[in-house]
Amino acid sequence: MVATNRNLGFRAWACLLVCVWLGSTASFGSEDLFEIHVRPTLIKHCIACHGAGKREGDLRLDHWQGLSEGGDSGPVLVPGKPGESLLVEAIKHESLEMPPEYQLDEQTIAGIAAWIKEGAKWPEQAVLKAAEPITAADRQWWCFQPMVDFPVPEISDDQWCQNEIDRFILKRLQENGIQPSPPAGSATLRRRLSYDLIGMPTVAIGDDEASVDALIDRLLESKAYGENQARIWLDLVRYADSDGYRADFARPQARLYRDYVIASFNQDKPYDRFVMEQLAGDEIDPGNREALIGTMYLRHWIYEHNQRDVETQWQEILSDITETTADVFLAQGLKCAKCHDHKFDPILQRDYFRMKAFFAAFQPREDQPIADLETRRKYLADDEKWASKTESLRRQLHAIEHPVLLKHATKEGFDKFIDEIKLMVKKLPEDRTPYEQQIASLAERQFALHPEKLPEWLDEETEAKRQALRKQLAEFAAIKPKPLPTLAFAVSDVASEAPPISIIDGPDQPVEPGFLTIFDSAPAVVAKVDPVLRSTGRRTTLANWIASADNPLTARVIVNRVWQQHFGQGLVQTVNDFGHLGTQPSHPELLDWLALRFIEDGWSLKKLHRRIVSSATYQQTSRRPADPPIIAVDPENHLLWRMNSKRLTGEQVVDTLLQASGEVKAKKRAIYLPVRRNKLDPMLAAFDFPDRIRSVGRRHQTTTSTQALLMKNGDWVRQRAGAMFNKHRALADSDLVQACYAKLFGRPATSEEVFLAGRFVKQYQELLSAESDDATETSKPGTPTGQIDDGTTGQNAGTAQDAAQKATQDAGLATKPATVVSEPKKDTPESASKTPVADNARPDPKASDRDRARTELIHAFMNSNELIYVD
Amino acid sequence: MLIKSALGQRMNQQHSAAADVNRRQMLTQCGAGFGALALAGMLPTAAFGDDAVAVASSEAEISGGLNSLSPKALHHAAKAKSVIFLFMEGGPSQMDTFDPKPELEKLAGKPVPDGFEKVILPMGEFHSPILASKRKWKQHGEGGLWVSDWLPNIATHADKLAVIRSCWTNGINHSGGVCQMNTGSQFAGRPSLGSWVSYGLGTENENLPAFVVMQDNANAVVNGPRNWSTGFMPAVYQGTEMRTKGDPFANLKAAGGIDQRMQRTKLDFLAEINRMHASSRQSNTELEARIRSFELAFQMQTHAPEAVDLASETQETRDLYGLDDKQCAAYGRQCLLARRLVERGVRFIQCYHGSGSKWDAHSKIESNHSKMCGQMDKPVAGLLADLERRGLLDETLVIWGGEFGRTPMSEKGDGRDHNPTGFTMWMAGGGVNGGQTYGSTDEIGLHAVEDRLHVHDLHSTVLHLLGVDHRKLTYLHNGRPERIDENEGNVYKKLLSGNQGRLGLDG
Repeated sequence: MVATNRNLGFRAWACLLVCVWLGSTASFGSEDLFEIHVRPTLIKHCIACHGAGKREGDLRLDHWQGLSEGGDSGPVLVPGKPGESLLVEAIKHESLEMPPEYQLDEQTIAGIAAWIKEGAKWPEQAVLKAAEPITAADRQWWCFQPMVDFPVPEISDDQWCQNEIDRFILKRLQENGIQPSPPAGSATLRRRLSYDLIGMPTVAIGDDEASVDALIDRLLESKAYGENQARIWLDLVRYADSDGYRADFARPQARLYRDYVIASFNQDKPYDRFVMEQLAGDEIDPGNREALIGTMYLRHWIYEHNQRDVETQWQEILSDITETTADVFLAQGLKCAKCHDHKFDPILQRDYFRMKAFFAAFQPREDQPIADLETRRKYLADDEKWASKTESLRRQLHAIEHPVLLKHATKEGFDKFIDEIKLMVKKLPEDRTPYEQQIASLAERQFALHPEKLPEWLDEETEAKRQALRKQLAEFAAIKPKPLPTLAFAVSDVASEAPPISIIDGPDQPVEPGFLTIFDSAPAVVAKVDPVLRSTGRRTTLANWIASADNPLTARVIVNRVWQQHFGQGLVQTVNDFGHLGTQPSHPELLDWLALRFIEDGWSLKKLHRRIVSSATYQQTSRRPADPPIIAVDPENHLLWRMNSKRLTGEQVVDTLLQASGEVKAKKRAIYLPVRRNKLDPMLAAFDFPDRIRSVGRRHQTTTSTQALLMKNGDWVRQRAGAMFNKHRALADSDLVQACYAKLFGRPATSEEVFLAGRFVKQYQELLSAESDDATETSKPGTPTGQIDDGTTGQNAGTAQDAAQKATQDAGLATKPATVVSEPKKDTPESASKTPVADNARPDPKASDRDRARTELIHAFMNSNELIYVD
Repeated sequence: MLIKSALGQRMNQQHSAAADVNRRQMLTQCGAGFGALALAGMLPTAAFGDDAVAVASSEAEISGGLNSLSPKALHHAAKAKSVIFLFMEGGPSQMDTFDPKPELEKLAGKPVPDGFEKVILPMGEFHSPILASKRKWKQHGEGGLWVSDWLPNIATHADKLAVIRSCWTNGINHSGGVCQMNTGSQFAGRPSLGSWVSYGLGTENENLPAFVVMQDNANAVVNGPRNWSTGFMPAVYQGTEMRTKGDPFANLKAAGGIDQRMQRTKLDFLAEINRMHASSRQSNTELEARIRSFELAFQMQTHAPEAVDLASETQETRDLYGLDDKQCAAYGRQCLLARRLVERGVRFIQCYHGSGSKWDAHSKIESNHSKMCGQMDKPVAGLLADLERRGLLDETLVIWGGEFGRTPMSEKGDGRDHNPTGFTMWMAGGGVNGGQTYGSTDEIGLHAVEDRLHVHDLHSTVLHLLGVDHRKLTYLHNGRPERIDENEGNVYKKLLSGNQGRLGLDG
């Protein structure tokens, strides 16, 4: 059979060549047409959905019976009559559109129509089989190859190089006939290092006595380093302080995770340990509170507090965790494979569910014990003793109390669930299967029970019986172990047995946990965990695999993210997707070299940062124009013949302005603002703060007129300008300009810049005086000078506005302007009158025109490109 | 080119050599890939055929500068240029407005008969007794469209309405429902339909946002601004909230009454220091884009107030929208503003009626819906009439509906629960065949049965009418080429004027 088909195929190919040339398919017999057009098309484009596995629309196209019987939309073909065959209509996209994503080429369509016209002959008993899901070519894809320790390239003229990175870069530049760029100037480099490492300016102008290396060390040791680094991680894990959905309830404990991330970066916690804690802290270190806080990584999914379709919400949660984990740690987009084998990457639908199975036993916990194995062993032994002695009593009590409690449940109530859910909830937790426990506990979040009111609700006799049982139960209190300390918003497994996970629309058999088939098609060997944990060990197994030096993805993925942080683009540009729809590495050898050094360095991120920012490649100027030869070879600077300039993030803008206005204080940096999913901070949102619903590896960078409106007219920036002016009001114009350039741009102003600024102040002042002369009847318009939000307008509790306002008040800043004589060299401090902040909540009509003009000057600087872009 | 995704290669193969050089120059000038494809709209070759759109969508390359809103070429001839989506938030009842169910009279007070598929309802009212409709029904227009007595004004436009009785969605709650009607998914994180439209079509008037959202009262729409956000797309495509009174957009005016001349002086100074800064950084075109954004913002400050200034509207027009009728003034104002925005080239306008789930009649549906219908009936009819007489209706697609419908079963005796499995929406203008109904629900209005139209199909159809192929408009995100319809939608071809497919849905 196979041989015959091959022969046929060969003959058909020969004929096809002739026929394509003639532009016709008419001369073929139906059998030939089947081999040329029908068989390959059905195998390649149709049977994945209409075959033995899935039978979408109840239609199979892998055997004759299926074709002849048709599906939900009726018969699909009428032999001899292509015009009446739904199949032809569908592939022509005339009514149904098949395949749904794209249309077959015209020749194939004509070929299939011709086959039907010729009688639609199907080889006897032929059943089409899907091609091998993972091909040899798939296995060659770069990111699945083991990392290779490439030797550092030898370069004869290596004067430019500062470390090994530069040799990799320079070699490629030389091969392409491009010279690298000279280093950036000292001020530029210092500003760049500050933003890249700590996310805000740090170096006062003129502070250049220390070497660049010393500066790098100082920045990496600064607490601000972790705060900057955490922002990137929180985007990846879609961290938020609220649930999302309609009510968008707060998650007060989530900030523990945020602080844990900041602290982990500041401690330079080895990245492999960081991964392990987040995926399986409860299994690998159950007595360590920090490791348990790490597992809050698994809690950042959106949650709807009144979703009656509990089981669907639960599956969405597990899917979200699975997809996010693949995005964050492995840069593999799994989402496509949820419904079918991935069309571009060698990821099978089965792989999606194998990965999901690692989380099958996942259980959100509000009472996760913080206790090591020995403590737990003792506690559990005692608790089991108590439980077995009291079982009968507890069951009797449950039978009396629970139905009444459910009947009177508050919040979203109990009676609105469907019967299946009600049954699960009604059981004692110890009688529930692990899956029932997961679903029931999710449902139980929706209502509150009030046992204190039972005496009101029970009749006298039952209440008396209940009291008697309670009294008996109380007699066992002495042997009940003291409760362990617990942590809320944490994670454990539901039991030592995982509930089954099965493929959507697939066979019902449960899927065992396993890694991507391309790495290992066998089920994963699940790690043994101490039985006292009542945990499956599945998450530890996954974490071990991810945090392994042998995993070809993990180190490459994180190294690439750090590279992007410094260069604005990764060595692989698509940082969350190493698949075929992403880009391939520009410097594959360098990527591997860095990843292997990173592992050798004990997965130290600080060492990785230092290695990158110490390179001549990083320290190049960004201001080199592209000459025509470069345009021809590398217009997008993948070869890194210069540094890329970068725009500040919203957090960096906020931090910079707060620092310049003297308002930044501990814990007031933008990273500490609560993230409300339905109400993002307006300043951060204007600068592309992500929605924190899905993992984001690279923020967008949009420039919009609404952003410009916010910056130039919005209260928040104007208030920072006012506060900054107040801090520097005593300075003469030229000194004020120098202070602004130092704080906002990290460099001294030139004499021309000082002149322009002075001229602006003068012009603006004249406009103001002209206006006040005009406005004899109406009161003079207010100005932002010293204007501070009085808090009554701030609806966004906990926004940047609030933080700054609080800081301003804390600082006790004087906000009322002094009467300033014209062009003093320097005002004496006493000339600034101090008044309570509250008095300055409104625009100050008495602000002198000159002060107002000087405040406008600062505000203009805050709006400038030089502030927003880093060279 | 050094590194290219598969899609990128395909695009490049289609370039002429000269165009390639152009593109390279552009890319070089724009500083190492930042903002690279923001420029795509300016390039002669990036005519936004399918591949170009796919390339522009690559997350690796896109930055989304102002230029990504440049007008873009279409996949096919458009029937509509703009969309006005009249969003009845909370879920209007289909069996009391456009989908009469005489069977309800007979079954009133009884439970749902056997044979109807069970559904999960938020208030668990599946077994509650059926509630009859108290409406009086009449056929209207040449097409004989059934409209209830709650909507006497809209009924006069019956021949314009393409009433789809067979809509269905997945979300059973408001949050999921509103999210899905906007984005296609009940789960947050995806771009809104208006964002897809802005992304696919760009704008013809940069002095106003391409996608504008209004609401009729101060209560937040369920989920808040997330409904008109861009999800994983750049913020340049997001909807902008417009207030119907006072300053139309946030931050349109500087606090403290700074006048035009002062603003101009300051902007000039800002431009001057920005130009000095840019002079030694010519390779970074983002700098120029940002300079331009401040100029555009300044222009918006003058154009936006003009767009919302109703002083030039005649009394007759005001009456048409019911502006002086207390009951319908708020929504009338929105509808009139919507027309003015369409005239000024705004692409997608969403007008929320009953924001904060005011249509959500779990109890007392009679009083609730009487009031809600009364507030919106006249303004909506006025909008249809006004668009028609100005020759705008042909190129403006008007959509009416909520996030779901309501159940035939009662709740609390005199209300109705949410019904995502079968409900009514209608479209008018912009290339739809009016004057008739499409699809149907079962005898009690619980499930859509004939020509079932999922939200994905609805979105695909809207894009189709705008000249965009929902299968070709993709955006690459985390390794997945995303579409508005999550790869599941089909254009409802029966609805299109002059187009009769053998099957209603194309898939």
